[in-house]
Amino acid sequence: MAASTLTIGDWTPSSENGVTVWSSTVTATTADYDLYTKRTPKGLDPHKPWTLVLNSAATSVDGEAVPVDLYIGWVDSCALTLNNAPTITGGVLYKADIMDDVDAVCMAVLMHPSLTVAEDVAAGAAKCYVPVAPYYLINLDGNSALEAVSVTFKIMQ
Amino acid sequence: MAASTLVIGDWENVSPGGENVWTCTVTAAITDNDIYTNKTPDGLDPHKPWKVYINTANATLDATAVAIPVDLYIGWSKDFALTETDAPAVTDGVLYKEDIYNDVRTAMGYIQMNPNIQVAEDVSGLGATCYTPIAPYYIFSLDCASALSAGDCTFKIIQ
Repeated sequence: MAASTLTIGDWTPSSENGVTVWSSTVTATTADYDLYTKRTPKGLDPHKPWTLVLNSAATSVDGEAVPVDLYIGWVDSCALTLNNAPTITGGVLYKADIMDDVDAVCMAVLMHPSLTVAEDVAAGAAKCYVPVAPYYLINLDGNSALEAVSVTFKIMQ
Repeated sequence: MAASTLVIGDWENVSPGGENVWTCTVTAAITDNDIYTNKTPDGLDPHKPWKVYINTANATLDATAVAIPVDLYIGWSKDFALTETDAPAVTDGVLYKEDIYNDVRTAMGYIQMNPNIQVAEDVSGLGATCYTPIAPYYIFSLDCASALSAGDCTFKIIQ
């Protein structure tokens, strides 16, 4: 493993119809195997449901299945590093594969701290029982070298 | 696929008894396979429960005996919209869930939309419920497997 060459954009907020929409774009090179975000923004309320949109432009990321992992963080400085099997500072991997594959498709996940139905990791009503935490980080867990691409994430709450 | 020939009405609002009731009528031609709305109106609060009624006039939308299920799209900008006559393409949004209701071909379907649902989801009958993700806007698409009958389909939202 080596240092990541990702260019990780900040979470930029906007407001639509009373809903806060944060967007972050992460650009990978072919030296990266994983593609991850910064920690989620401070305005996200982890006690309420939110929606995570992955790969909103349906970009081809890897040419094979790219599952999504969820990390949680407990300090402002929580962050992921490395170009593969990332190491986390100030947090922990909570769950691998909250979505089974976001290569070349846009998917949305209902993130809920009080989910009352079964979780689902596939497109078509994906749902994740989200632990309450100050911050979350999202990782696209590639199995091989990624394409040189930009992937946009969105959070809606 | 080709461009849709749908005539999609705006969501019109009235407020009987202090409740918001939005109504939208979509007119299809026989060149359309799917019927879909414009994005839901500003003013619908996605953080609260709401109810959607689809095909309120019990119109026959397709003369064949094939069911017409309802798909739910979510969107994140004012440009959110569907296009095409079949298998619609989406701008600034994503198909969240297919078949939130199983069939509105000749009868009204009504669905409780709730971001904090406390019961199992159900796609049919009087107790239809959908665990609805938070989003600024939603679009409903009637996903027909063949060409529709020419006619109107009216949607209502109550919150």
